[in-house]
Amino acid sequence: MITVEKMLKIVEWTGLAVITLIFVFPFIWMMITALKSLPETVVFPPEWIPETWMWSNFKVAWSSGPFLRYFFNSLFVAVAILVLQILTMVPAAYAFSRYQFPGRGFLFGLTMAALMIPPQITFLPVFLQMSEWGFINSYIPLILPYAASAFGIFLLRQSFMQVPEELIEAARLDEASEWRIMWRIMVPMARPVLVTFGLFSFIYHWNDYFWPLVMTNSDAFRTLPIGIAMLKDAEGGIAWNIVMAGNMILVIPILIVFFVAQRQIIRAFVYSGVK
Amino acid sequence: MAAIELKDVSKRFGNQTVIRNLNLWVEDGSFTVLVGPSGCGKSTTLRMIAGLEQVSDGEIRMNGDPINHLPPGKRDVAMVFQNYALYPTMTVRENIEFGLKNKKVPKKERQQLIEEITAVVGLEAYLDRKPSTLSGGQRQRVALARAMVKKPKVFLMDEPLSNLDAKLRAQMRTELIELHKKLGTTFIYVTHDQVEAMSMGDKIVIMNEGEIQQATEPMEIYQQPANLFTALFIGTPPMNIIEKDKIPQLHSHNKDIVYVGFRPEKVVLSNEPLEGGLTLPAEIVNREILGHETIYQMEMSGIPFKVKHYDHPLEEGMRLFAYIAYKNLYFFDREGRRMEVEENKADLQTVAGGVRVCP
Ligand SMILES: Nc1ncnc2c1ncn2[C@@H]1O[C@H](COP(=O)(O)OP(=O)(O)OP(=O)(O)O)[C@@H](O)[C@H]1O
Ligand SMILES: [Mg+2]
Repeated sequence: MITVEKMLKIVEWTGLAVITLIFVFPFIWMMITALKSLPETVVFPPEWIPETWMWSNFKVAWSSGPFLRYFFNSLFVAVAILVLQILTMVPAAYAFSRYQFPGRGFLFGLTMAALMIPPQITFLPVFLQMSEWGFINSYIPLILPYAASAFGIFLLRQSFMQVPEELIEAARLDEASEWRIMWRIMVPMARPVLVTFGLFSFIYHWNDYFWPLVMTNSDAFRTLPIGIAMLKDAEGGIAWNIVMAGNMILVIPILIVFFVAQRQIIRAFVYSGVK
Repeated sequence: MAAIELKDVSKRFGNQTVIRNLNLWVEDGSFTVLVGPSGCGKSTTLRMIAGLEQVSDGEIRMNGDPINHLPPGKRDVAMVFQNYALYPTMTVRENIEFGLKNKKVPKKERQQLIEEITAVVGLEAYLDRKPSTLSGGQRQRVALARAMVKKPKVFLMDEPLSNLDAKLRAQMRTELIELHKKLGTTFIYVTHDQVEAMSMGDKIVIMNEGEIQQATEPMEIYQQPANLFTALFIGTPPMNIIEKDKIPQLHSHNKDIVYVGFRPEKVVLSNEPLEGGLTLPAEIVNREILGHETIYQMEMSGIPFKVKHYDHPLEEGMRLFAYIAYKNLYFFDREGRRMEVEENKADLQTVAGGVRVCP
């Protein structure tokens, strides 16, 4: 006999399965397309399973431009941004959460204002400034404008404010410098928040198309999303299978990062608040 | 080891004065207890000694040298917090080691110190555990170990036992007393619990509203309270205080006496008036049997007072005579200051049951 509870469970599971499918389908479609031959990508009705698995599409995509260079640029830019952001946001968040100083409210307000301004507004003045300084065609315009994250400072400040003052006082009595208190007491306690932020930041800059497009004009500093977008411009129409293979190359590192950090991320969402 | 001296210390938060001209001498090697009602400034005083709070006025000295300007880490003091304040992301070992690392103590020495200290507090088995996996009592020990390992000149403790259950609290109390004997270091201990204060301190500092009411040995506080506040603060139930005018049995020519006090446990209940003291005819209106003792709520023509006895409980509604020997009476003036009236005891005469009794 099927009890009401069992029925509810079945409904719940079906619901979850449908939602999962909705989210996962585009990804699966991308994967399948990346493995099709060119004619197969345009047949109607679409084929689910490619006749032959065209692993060579990846090779074609990869070798259609200096992809190793793009890949390295993307990695270097995203990691450099993240490192700088953490180096700036930890002291900033610590100061905003624990110090009384003149202008604190104003400065924090300014940080919050920065949070609300999208890059589409700032890119022009930044670009002009950077080109005036002669930095276009270097990593500097890709990295420097993102070296401090208003969002990160805000998030980390909230997390730091939950650390009991007594802990900091205990550390001061233990003769810890402010620098040690930040990195040995505060940062470990805010670890879930930092991991979450790090992921968001990394994914955002890894995938970012707009900013690198504006700030670079040579292959030496272009990043992966631009390289992949350029796959579309190949002569003789768009080769969707190649474009999708390129997209897979873009996405795979993120999936790897996600799997590695999975436990941390789940913890970050479940365990908010410091005990 | 060190003596601590507070000279004319004041503390203001904004325009609210929390500590007013405090003068305190903490003897080297003593177990000094700061006690008082909530909000009287005990923690603030302790935190000023620790350097976590700046003094607004006055000076704090250690062994005669001013330490006002020194940051907390340089004062050679260690503090145990009410909520322990253990670093939650570090293991027990790392918690204890943190201060030593900051002091740049070499690794070998650190290990030796940690072994030494953990043996004293019995934490050997827990060195690699995180504080969140420990019981309250174990956390308390980690906090103690973290303070002890630095070999400070002064230990500061802010209600360190208040988060423990009654049994564990009693046990830790004994352990702290023993620890103090073993280390011989100065302890300054904050509590609002008078039993803790009486049982642990060799000197008790009673505070109220940012001022010291009395600072002396436990027995002296009990026997010779300096004013109404200390008289009422120490002892359970507190001292009975009655306006002198309401006791017609008591005749005194001393016009300054406004209040008369006596401790509930110093009252003798009898069927007949006794001589040589104050005798009050009264009725038992209520009783509270606690097993080893009984507390009686008594009434003498509308004036309530309490009596504590260890004998077999007496019945409610009984009419008796409450007798208090002269030496157990305390006298206070209008401001609540205690008056020494030993020399004019002859002045004091009582009329009890219509019979004139001479002292
Ligand atoms: N940072 C602060 N800002 C403003 N007022 C404060 C601050 N710290 C303490 N006070 C005030 O100072 C007074 C004394 O506080 P304190 O913490 O020293 O009391 P306490 O004797 O330790 O009380 P308790 O037994 O409740 O811990 C209180 O009125 C409190 O409100
Ligand atoms: Mg307190």
